[in-house]
Amino acid sequence: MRAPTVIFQVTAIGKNSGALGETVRSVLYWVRRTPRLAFRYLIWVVVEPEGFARSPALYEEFRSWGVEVMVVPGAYRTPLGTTGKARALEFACERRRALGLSNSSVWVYHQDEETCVGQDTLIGISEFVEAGRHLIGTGVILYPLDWTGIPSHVQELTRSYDDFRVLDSMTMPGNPTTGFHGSHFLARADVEDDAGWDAIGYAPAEDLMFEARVRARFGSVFGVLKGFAYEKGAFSVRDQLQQRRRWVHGVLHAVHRASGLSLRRRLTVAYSGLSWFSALPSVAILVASLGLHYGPILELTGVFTGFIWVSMVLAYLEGYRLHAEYIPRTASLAHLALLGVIGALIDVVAPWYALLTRPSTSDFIPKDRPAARSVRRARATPDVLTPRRIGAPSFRLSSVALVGEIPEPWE
Amino acid sequence: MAARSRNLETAVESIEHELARATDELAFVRSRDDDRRSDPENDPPTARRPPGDPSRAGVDLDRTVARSDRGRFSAAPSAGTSTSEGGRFDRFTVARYNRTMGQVHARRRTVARLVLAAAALISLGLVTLAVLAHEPEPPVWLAVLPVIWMVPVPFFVLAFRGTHRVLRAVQFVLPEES
Repeated sequence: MRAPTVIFQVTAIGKNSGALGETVRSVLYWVRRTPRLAFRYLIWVVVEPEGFARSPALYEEFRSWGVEVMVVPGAYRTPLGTTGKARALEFACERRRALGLSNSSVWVYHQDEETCVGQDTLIGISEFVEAGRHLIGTGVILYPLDWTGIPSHVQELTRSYDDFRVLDSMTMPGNPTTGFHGSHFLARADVEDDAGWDAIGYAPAEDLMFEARVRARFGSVFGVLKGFAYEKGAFSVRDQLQQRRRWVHGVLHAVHRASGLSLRRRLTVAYSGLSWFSALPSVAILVASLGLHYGPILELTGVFTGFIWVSMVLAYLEGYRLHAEYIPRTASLAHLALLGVIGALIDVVAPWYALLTRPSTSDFIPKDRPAARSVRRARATPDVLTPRRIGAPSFRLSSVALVGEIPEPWE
Repeated sequence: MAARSRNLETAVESIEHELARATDELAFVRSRDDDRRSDPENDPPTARRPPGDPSRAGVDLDRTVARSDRGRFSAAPSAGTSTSEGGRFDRFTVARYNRTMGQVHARRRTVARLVLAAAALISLGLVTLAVLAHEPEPPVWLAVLPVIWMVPVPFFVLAFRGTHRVLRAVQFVLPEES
């Protein structure tokens, strides 16, 4: 019986080269130190030309490790003309089809540029593909990388605990609370390539659309992927705000413009969005209650308020407990609570900020450690790329030629 | 003529590709042997090899794969060239994962009961305050404002139910190396 193949596919712009390098190394490190995995593996790094141009030396190094580096040609167009990450993902689908890798014995594990894997991730993947009961799987993501305990990091604790809600919703028919991930998910290659990522124009919520398409075409084929993935939070509240803005634009796009969503899905997505949007007015109404008198209505709302408050606090507490083995305790509990409140306020404001600003395809969230960024910038200067350095064997160059034009920043 | 030329180019490309993969494979096999000799902790690096005859690795896999692409399956990254030093990810072990998930799983009932009890207490307190306050009827437009607080209630209820359902139904623990 043949062993399945898992493609570890990192799809990114490629500008966060430090994070990307660590992600790839984490895969290489753990596949060699995890016995009895039930799969073979390939590593694909799919980046945009501007990302490649920023650190060509790193990508050459990747190639020397056997990693398949694919630079999505600037001229590449999908049939429906999608842009952004969906375009790169569709490009990878086409490559798989062309290479004969779009079949039931190949799986694709999707990673963002900062999605490190651990031994647990690999064993979870191994179990999942060996069982073969589900066609798509996703799991819990922790955010311990580069943890500094700033508000945007504390806020991410809640996302990890919320992943259990995501897993439940995703495995239920109809995905009632709209749960899915854009990274740390595993898809059988033929299923992914059949559903595809193409959409008309810019699709900021490509993961949501993909999940909806798979569900519509294959039914409820989603399962739980055991093992964590390890990512990192935004390095500033500004970055956190930008990141959330992109998500909100994704939700709004899905509700208003996405043609592939059924009415029912649109309604559930719209309701999830509405819940998020209601946070800021809720806080405002709470503050206003100090001066205004809402009267007997409070006797009704008071019944549910306790549950909402406790649920929110629980997400921080359980999120912290999930991370307890992975992050240093950098502050007292009271200090953490304060940081959590600040992080939460950013999330409260984010949807309205998104509503008042235009979607942008050029939003770039730095994921390289601020201290490391300046060092790497110095390292990545073109003088590193001497002809000897880039004079890789011809087969490397031919494999580059397979995926299209590569910008030549050394010229 | 142009078509033939294109076919020829494709064929050359495929051969080059296979050669590349074969080179990688050779490098991997050699470095694996080197690793075995030098670093017993690395053994066995089975991830890129299915059970079976090693000499057949990368050949006898999916028969639907085009002949020219079969070698791709043996495209294991050259072993150990850059990964001899563990990064921060070397802390991400199965044992640590199992401990974390085991604790989450073990306390799920307690957490659920505490949540419900705390929510009930807070709600009771708030409702009592609202009743005792004997506030006058506000204008309708003002009275509907707190209804906005109710918008996310179904979402939170579903999230709570779903979280505990998935924790109950799924055994998250992974097998550990003996």
